[in-house]
Amino acid sequence: MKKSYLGEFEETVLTMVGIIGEEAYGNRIVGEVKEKLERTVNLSAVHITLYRLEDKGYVRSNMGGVTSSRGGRRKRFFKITKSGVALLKELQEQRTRLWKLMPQLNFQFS
Amino acid sequence: MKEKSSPNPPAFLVKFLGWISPNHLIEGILCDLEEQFYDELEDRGVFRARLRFAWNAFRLIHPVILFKNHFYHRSTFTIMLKSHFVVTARNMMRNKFYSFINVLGLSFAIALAMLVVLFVRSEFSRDQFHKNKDSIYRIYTQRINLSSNEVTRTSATTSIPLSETFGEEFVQIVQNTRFGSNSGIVIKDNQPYDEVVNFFDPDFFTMFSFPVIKGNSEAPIKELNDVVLSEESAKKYFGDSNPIDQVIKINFNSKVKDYRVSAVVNSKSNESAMQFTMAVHIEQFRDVVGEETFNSPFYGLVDNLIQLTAGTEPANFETLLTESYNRGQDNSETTNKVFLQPIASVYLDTNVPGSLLTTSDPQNTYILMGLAILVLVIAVINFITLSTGHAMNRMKEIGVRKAIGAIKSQLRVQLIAEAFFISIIAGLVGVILAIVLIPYFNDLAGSALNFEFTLFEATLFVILILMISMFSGLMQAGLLVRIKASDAVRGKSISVKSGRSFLGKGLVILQFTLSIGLIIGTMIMRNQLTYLSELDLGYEKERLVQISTNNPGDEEASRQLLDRFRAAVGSNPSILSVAGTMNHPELPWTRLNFPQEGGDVEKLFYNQVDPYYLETMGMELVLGNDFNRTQTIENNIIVNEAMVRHFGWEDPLSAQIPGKNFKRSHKIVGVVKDFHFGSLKDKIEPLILSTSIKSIDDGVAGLSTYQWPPMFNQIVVKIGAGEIQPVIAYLDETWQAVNSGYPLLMTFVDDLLEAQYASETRWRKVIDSASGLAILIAWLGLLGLTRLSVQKRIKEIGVRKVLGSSIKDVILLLSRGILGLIIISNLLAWPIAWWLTNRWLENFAYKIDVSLITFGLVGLAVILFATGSVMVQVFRTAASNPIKALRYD
Repeated sequence: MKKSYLGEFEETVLTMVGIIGEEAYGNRIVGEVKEKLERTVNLSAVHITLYRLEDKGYVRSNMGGVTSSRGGRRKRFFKITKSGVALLKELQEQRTRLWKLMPQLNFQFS
Repeated sequence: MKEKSSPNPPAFLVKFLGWISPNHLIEGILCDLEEQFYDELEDRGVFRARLRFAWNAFRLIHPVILFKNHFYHRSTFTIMLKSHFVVTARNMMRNKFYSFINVLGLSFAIALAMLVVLFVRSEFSRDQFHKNKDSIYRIYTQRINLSSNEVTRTSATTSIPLSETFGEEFVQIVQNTRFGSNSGIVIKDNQPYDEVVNFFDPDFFTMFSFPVIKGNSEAPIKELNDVVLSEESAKKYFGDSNPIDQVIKINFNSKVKDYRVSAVVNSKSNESAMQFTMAVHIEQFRDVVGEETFNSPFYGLVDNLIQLTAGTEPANFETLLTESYNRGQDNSETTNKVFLQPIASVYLDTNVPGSLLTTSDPQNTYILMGLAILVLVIAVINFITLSTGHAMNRMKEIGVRKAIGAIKSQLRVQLIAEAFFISIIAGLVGVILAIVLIPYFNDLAGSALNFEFTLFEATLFVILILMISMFSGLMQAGLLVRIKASDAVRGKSISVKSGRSFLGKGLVILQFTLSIGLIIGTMIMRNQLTYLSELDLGYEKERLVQISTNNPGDEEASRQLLDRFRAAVGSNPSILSVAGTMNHPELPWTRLNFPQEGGDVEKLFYNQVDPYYLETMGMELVLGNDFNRTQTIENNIIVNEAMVRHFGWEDPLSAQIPGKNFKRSHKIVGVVKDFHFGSLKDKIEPLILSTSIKSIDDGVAGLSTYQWPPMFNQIVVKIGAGEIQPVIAYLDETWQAVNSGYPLLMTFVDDLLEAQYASETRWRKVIDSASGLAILIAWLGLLGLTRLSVQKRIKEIGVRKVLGSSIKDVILLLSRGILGLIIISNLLAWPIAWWLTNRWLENFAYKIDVSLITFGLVGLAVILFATGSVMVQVFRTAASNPIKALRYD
């Protein structure tokens, strides 16, 4: 498989989709990011990233049922795929590996 | 939540989002955006919510969204486009001959079309660069006879005080200038140069937008002794050194003054009708024409130009000017009308005669445009006939495409795509050709075009390519996509053949008609122009030179100079005769107005000569005697035959020129055989020759001329047989002896006449080349087409030969078709060519008879040439062994 790289924002969005689980959608992701990372992100940017991730095969989407809210529009729900999970995991391991190679700065300063 | 009263996201943004985003995504996007909107609405108010919504909408203008949108719909199209490209390339490689003809023909046509468009643009955009172009007008006048209500005179040149008088009277005139022109002798470093000098008012450079390169850019001719140089003349006189504040001497009519160079301007000689290389203050024109003429409202000597205030309606203002103009003229029989002509339209208007501004006949431009279109049409027809003919060979490919589900529109797209690819290739080659050919074109057309790839050229390129490819692609599509898949795969194409051949034949006929018409047109134009150049001028132009007397000042001075010169060369046996003349072939001749009883004005040409003129020029007297050489008899005149015809005189030698102002009588001593002194396009007009203006000046009221007052501006010398070079050296030497300090400005009259027809000759070459190109492309097309039809019938030929046909039979069989087409084309082309050439010939007073023989000969030549080249091709096939053709079946 071709090695895929994710941008920082893409990784954040993908992780959030993973955390939320079944019913991740744009606005909820914005909310979660704000709550967990104390960071405000743009909704449209999240959408664009979600479609990009879908093209790469890391998330899958389907339309939800009609909600009670205005206009009766349906939500598009995103779910992380297996390759998405695998990628996150790989990225995590990579980072851990690198972290271990880091000279132990703590020693020198303490 | 109070849904009904609560505000909603802006509807236009919702619509916009629906427009930019793909159908399957829009619902999810809107759902999320609206949720955020309503959350925001509660937390922070309507404004912030809307702002955020708009920002989100803006952020969604992103490739990920936009491309998702259309890719699904277009993917097959784009994939196929690539395939079409590959297929086109393969086909082109496989059929190098047709591809070559197609691309080459189209490239030349595109190159010519681009050059012609550039040329036409430069012709039609003269004087468009002036900031004030919409408010500047050239004044011209018409004289109208009140009793007959006819226009008796139209003149672009008007009197010197005119614009100044108008400018003082009318507040609507912001600025005004005169455009005068005369020859002068520039003296720099004691070296004399003959130069055409222009005379402008100081307003000239503020009215018009000629860029000042160096020097005083505010008021280039403010002082009386300022002189403005064009870049070219600055280079000529000062090379690379700074000309500003340098002093040159200019001699007008023997009045030599110092002039200080105040500015160097870009005279935009290819962008303006006002051409000048050296300009001085109009006040200096007094030296040229004399005080009286300078202040007189009766002589038309300069072009008057005015700039009106914004909002002044020229048509209404013309009426005011006309009223004012007529107030100064006490004439109960004629009235004058003043017209205002926008400066930008002066260049292409040849209907207002006598202007000192440069004009160009738009007819030549239209002919060239027509030719470019013809060449393009012929090349496109080649393209269509060859591609369709050739596509018949690709029937199987089309059949297979249809069988596996290609719908008509897809086949159409394929054919248009192919046409498009080929046009692009041809277009690129065409651009290269245009760049390579532009110097030659400039040379031929006398233009100064250059090819820069600006937006204009790019647009032109795209439009040409799109037009060619859409037209030829659709034509082909119309012919080919109707075929049934099963027929096509089996190689059966009968159902479509009749349609194709009908249209195909139509196109071939059209192409031949155009070619034949072009050949006939070119032949007739060529014959006419040759006829003009060989026309009997009525005098002997060979071994005749004219020498400028360099503005000796007045009549007496010129006469003395002439006498000195004649006495000095009198002993040389190579010099047969010497005479003085006021007018010469370079400029229009002086025309005098003789008012008649009843308000008419007779306009008769006048030339002041000395008694040796007729002899030197080799003119013949048909009646009476030459001027008296021993003593000047002031009232003697000689008239031409046109004059006798004009007045219907039965006994010219006892006739008088009619005119109500005449107080004295004049004596017509002789009638000279008609000779051409004006444009060869025009009829020979009535002319008076006299040794003194006093013979008829009492009858004159008003005149138009380039040469005034009457004096000998030129000396004509007839040189006898023998070496010409020593005679020229001798003339130079003698000239220096009798008129020292002035250069010998000598021209051979036949060279001069040739130079006058230079523009005609140049145009003939342009038109010849363009029609040659058209004919070449048409011939290439014919070659391709016959080769195709021969190839298609190669098996038929084989079978016929096996069954006993001779080569001759086969050739006849195959040539018959093309022969029929050419005969039909001839019949179509002849009447069209007849009509068009006759219309063109109407421009000429002396013209050839269009003989039907030309038509027949051209027709015959085309038939022979076309069938000949067909036969050569057919012969190769017919002569080959039939086994070769039949072996594989």
